[in-house]
Amino acid sequence: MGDRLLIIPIGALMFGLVGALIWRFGQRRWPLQVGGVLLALVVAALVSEQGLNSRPQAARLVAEGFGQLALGRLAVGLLVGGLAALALELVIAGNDGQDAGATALTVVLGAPAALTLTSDSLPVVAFSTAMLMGAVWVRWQRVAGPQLLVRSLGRQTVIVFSALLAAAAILPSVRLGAAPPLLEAVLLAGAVAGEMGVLPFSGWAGASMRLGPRESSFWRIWMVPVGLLLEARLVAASPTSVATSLRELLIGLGLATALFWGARALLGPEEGRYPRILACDVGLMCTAIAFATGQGLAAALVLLLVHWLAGSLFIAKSGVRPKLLAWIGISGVPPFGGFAGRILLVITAASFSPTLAVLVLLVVGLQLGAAAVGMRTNVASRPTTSSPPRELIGLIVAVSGLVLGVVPVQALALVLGRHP
Amino acid sequence: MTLAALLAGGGFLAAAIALLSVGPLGMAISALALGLGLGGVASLSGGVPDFSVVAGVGTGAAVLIATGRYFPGLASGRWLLGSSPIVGRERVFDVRSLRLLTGIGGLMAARLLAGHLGAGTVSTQGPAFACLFAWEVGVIRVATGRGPSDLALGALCVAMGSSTFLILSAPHSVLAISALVITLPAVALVLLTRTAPWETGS
Repeated sequence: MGDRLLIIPIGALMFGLVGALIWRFGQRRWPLQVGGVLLALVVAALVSEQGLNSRPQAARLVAEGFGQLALGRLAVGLLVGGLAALALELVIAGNDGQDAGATALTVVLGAPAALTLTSDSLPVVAFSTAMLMGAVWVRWQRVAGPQLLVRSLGRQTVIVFSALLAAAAILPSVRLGAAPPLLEAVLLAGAVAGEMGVLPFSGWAGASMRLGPRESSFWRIWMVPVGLLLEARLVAASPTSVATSLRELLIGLGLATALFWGARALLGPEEGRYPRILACDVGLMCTAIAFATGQGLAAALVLLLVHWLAGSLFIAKSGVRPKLLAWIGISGVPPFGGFAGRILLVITAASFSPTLAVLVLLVVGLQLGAAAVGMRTNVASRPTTSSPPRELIGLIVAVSGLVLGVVPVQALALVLGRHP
Repeated sequence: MTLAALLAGGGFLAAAIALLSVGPLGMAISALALGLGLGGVASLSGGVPDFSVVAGVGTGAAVLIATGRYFPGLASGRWLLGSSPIVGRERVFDVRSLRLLTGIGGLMAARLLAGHLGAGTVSTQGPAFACLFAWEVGVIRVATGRGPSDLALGALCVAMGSSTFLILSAPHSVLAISALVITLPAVALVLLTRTAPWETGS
């Protein structure tokens, strides 16, 4: 690790400090303000360290030792974007002190997320991913007890840890031709699926909103982006024989997830409709990245930005107008961000196979229907408005979804340093 | 019988103990057996240092679990996870029978698969079999687990199995990272071994 990357352990320390402050003194306002200043310092240091120019992250994957930490522009963008999504949530939904534990944990989880995003060592990634998922499991168990979905997350934490460690263990042998590449691909695909909440490991993901709106933020803010970048790096850095099978597996799993959760979002009850649409989009993002093209990655990242913006609006208890705009934003109606991400994915899928493009279009239709039902329920519900400043911020965030759809290339370049 | 086969047999025995153990004492015995058994396998290519690390983590965890009865702060699972209501669940087989049946399946799968695995360029069918079986036992413990302690023991099994195989592949460069990845579940096992189960037995 170079001296310049000392920012990562320092940042991790800061994250821990802020989390501890919010956790301990969550009922008061000053921890959030102090924490905000500390985090702003970390973010400023990250940006000054990295600059705003795009720098590609080295595509390498090691199993022996700790490897190196590579702080690419995309990783910086995902970290800063995650924190910004958390800040949006706090501003729009408010912080009444009851969710201080969730807020603290979301801040603290930035540290293992940063390690996963920057390390090129598979055992280190296994370690940090287990820390990330394990912390969420502990939190959920404390909040809700051992419900089925909490137990599922506990099991999947260990399964992701197992799959990544086993993949690391046999990677040197795969490179030498002494172990089957298909086995390595299955292990890596299982790890990615478990980390992101893709079928067959998505039961906890779609139902997470039941634990409380703020409790599902861990998944949207950290686990999905970390899983996306992890998938992109695994696909790019695996030996060719592994990467081919890995991509095929992830395309299949992602599409199956999107179809399953798309149908459930359309036909299921109103409660939890948004997490089901998110689960459906996670499937689409998984598929998009598995295409291993710049356009596919851009499609996934646009969808991620859409949910970072819209998610905070769905968490708020009041504010009908921003929520209505958020439903339109994620529905896939042009020219909002949801449309931009999905149309990019359809174009990418069409260049691989017409069948894939038709399946993606089917998913887009399911999402449009589900969002329409959500909009109808939202309009029919008793109109509630939050305080004027929050309502205004909510409207600005919702309109940002429109801006994202109109200028997706510029938005991606600004936030994540990507040029599709 | 060669030394490699003997040590691989020790690794297999350790995994079998971890497959069938129950209760805090069983967890302690499992951690000790896994440390000694798979440490022995790791020593085939890494020598005494690798044995010391794997066996040291296993033995340390076993000692801490065993003494956790006298030092409640060590087994702070209830503080960590909160109190858990216990749910009754009917099963056709007792959980140990279920583990035994799946373990037999895992044994055959490991036997078949070990022939296709090589640790680097070295032919290591016996030791690879022990590592693979330990990993499978971990997955079985997680899949059939009835509480947090099962998850922690499963994680320890997979971490030890994978790390040992990694040590066989690249003995001189993975000791520190192996120590890190087996310490995490060992600490979790110490903390969670006395937590209430999620489900009662049949």
